[in-house]
Amino acid sequence: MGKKLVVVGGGAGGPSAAAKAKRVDPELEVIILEGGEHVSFSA
Amino acid sequence: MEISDGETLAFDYLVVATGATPRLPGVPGQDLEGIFCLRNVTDAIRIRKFIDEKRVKRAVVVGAGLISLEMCEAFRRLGLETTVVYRKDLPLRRLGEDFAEQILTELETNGVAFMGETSLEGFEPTDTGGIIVHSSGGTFETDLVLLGLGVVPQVSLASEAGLGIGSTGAISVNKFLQTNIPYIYAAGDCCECFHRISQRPVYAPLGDIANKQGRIAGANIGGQNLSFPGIVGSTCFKVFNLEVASTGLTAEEAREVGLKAEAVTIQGVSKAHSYPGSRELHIRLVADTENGRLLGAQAVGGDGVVSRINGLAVALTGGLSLDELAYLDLAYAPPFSGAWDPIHIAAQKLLK
Repeated sequence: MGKKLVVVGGGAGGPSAAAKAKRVDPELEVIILEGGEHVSFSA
Repeated sequence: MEISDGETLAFDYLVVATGATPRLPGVPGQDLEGIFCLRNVTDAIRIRKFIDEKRVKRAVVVGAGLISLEMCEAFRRLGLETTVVYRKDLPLRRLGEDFAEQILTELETNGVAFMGETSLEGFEPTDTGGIIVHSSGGTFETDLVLLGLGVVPQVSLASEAGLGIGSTGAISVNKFLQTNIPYIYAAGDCCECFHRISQRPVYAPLGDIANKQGRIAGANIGGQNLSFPGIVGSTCFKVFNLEVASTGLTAEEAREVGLKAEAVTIQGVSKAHSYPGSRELHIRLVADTENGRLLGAQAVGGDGVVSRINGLAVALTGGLSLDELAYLDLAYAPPFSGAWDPIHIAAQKLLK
């Protein structure tokens, strides 16, 4: 089983980190937490 | 970690990308309806909806940074009477009084009233849905207020988790974007970055930097070994028909970090003089007087500003000297520059 990444924040830096980590390691389980309504609006 | 519904999430790696929150003025009435900050898409939609539904005619912008000035243009385009309230005498004074005055002129030419050296004292609602603004420059009424006072890094979660906070107040990270806890990374507006010219950590909450930091943090979590080389401090924005950009340090900032700096300012043109649509372009170059190395550049003009500053950002990153800049092989054709580009002219003048 892959390792687990939790990302706090879905603005620009968070989704960039999540997407790249998943591309580099497809086995990784990735969860993004975002308090607002919109995700990745400036990424 | 625990999340809002009480559930507990386990992780092997964590990325803290909590961003930043708008700085508030701390005056009475700052939470009234019709007073907005602009931080995200939700804010933008709320502002636009308020303007349309309340048939807003007048707007007050508090602060004179990039967001404030961009919003002045947006409000004027919607036909709103727009007033800036700012505590200093000129917008973007960091760029120098001469450039700041050009920005002020551009605002006023486009119908923005600028109240400089004015401190905000508070807000009150009117019976008709308006807002009374109290300031050191007088009391007046408006329909909408935009607070553009900058941002502060959102570090409450990081602090609770015991992550190191740097001298700027943002999360401290190494070049791999790791915090003091190696499996916890940070990226974006909640964390610091390294300024390659001042050689110090700085707080530069900008979306492009956030993307780069995020991607590098993600690559490292995925098993690669990438490092973030840091920034040279490049920014740009447009206000009405004026382009403004800067990279590196101003002469004042260079001296503050102990460098011996000298600056020169030239007025050039964005395209060849003879070419239609050529506009004035003002560039200031800052160099180290001890070794002739470029330290920074600031520019304003009608056209071609950002391409010059981007070229100079590369020069800064590569550590070019004025000698190299003065005869640098920049692409030339009349629609884009004179045979001597403003960069050459400024570098040669500073060498004299």
